[in-house]
Amino acid sequence: MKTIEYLGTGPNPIDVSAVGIVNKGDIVEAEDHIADQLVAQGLFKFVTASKAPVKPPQPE
Amino acid sequence: MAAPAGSEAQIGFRYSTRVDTFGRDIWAPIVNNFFRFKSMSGLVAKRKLERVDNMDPSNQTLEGVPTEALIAPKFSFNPDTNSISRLIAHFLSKAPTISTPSGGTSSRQWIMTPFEFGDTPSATYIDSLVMEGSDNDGNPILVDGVRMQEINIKIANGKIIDCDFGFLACRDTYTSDPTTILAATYSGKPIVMGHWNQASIALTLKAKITVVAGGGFDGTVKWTTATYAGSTVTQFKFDTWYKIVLDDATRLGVNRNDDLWFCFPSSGATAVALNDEFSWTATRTLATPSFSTLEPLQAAGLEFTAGGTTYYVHDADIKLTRPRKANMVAGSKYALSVQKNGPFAATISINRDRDDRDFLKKLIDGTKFAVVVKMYGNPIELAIDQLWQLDFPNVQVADSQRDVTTPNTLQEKIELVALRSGSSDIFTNTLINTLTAL
Repeated sequence: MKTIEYLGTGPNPIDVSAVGIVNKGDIVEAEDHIADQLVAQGLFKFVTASKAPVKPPQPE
Repeated sequence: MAAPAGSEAQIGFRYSTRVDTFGRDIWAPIVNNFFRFKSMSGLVAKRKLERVDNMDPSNQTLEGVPTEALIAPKFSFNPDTNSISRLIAHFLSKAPTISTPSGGTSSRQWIMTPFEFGDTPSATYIDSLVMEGSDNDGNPILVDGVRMQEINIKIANGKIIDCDFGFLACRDTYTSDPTTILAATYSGKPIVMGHWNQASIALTLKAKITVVAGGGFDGTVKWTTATYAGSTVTQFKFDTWYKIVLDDATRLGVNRNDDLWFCFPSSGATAVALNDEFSWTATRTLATPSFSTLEPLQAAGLEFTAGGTTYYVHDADIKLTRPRKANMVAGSKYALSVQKNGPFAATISINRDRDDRDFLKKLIDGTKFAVVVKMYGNPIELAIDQLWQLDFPNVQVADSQRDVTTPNTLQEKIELVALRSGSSDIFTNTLINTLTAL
């Protein structure tokens, strides 16, 4: 799992399939390959896990 | 493999503003704009087979030769403003003017007009798109050089608004985005388009830089699917497409006319270094989608005014078109680029009760008047509602059908045509969404 923060470059809030609904500035956890993709897409950036409270994953 | 269901399908797009030698945008991999849709068609190329004309004594249909592949994607969906804003910006070839509505924090207002000759091009605008689509059959497809040619909006009372976007595109591929094995300073992503021959589908394609920039070229690359043993290399310039010829001079593509092509996009001032290496597989990894959270626009939120007066309609069909044609050339099965084929045009067709003679009078007079179509959604925040507004400052009535065909309330079908007049644009799009930038 990697910890990533939403940069707000897409719609705000944004509904990420694998993660849930995220607002700009929210910090979430995602599977490694999904986090890598979201960062490469320019929507999220990596943050160190210990920093701020992590938003829990949305229920189905 | 079990057949996939339509609900497993996904579409996303990406854009960039650098162009290749044919005026087609060079994309950086990874799609990052997604929208949900009702139906998608045309992502798979329509392939033509031409029959041989030579007379044959067998008296039977002869073999067809594949000559052309045309990609014409079309999507229909229930729109929300976040999902369509960038697509409309692309349609108009201009960057939006973005502002924050009074009192708002997350909401934004985008105002866009069509680009015209004489305008200063925006610093960043969406010239063409790269789309990745998947119906979950395990092989997402990537289509490049995509340009939109029409937007159809259907508003019917009691219903969620329906929207169709029609496009033309150039090339397609199932090839993955590049994996960078080594790139000392070069920050670009070399692109592979086209179709692999079936015998090679399981292989990994690799490229290594064997000579750095010099002699008018930006580098020399050697391609292989095994070890770099052969001697065949290709000199390349940035932003130009070349056929992939493997190190042993063989072809990885299907045949001469349906081959694999590569392009090293220029990336800032970075250059390729000796032994920089990249790899590709024949199948893409599907992008992780992300969607707008806004709900779709619906007919109950419609406000339609003509000449400043509000009219209530049963339904309205709005067509915004920007005709394009696929630039098919000898020497390629695929379109080289998507070209202009006509001016921006807009028509509005409405059905309403025959409440008055207003449109009949305008038809007889031939006068121009303003039409405003506002499609509201629920509030984004506070009193700021989601909105897609189309302003047509100059419209004429083309037809007003007032036939008597029923003993019940008489209906009127009105056709309106929007025009450019003086310096007023044919239409202006205003959207309230939550997108902070193009």
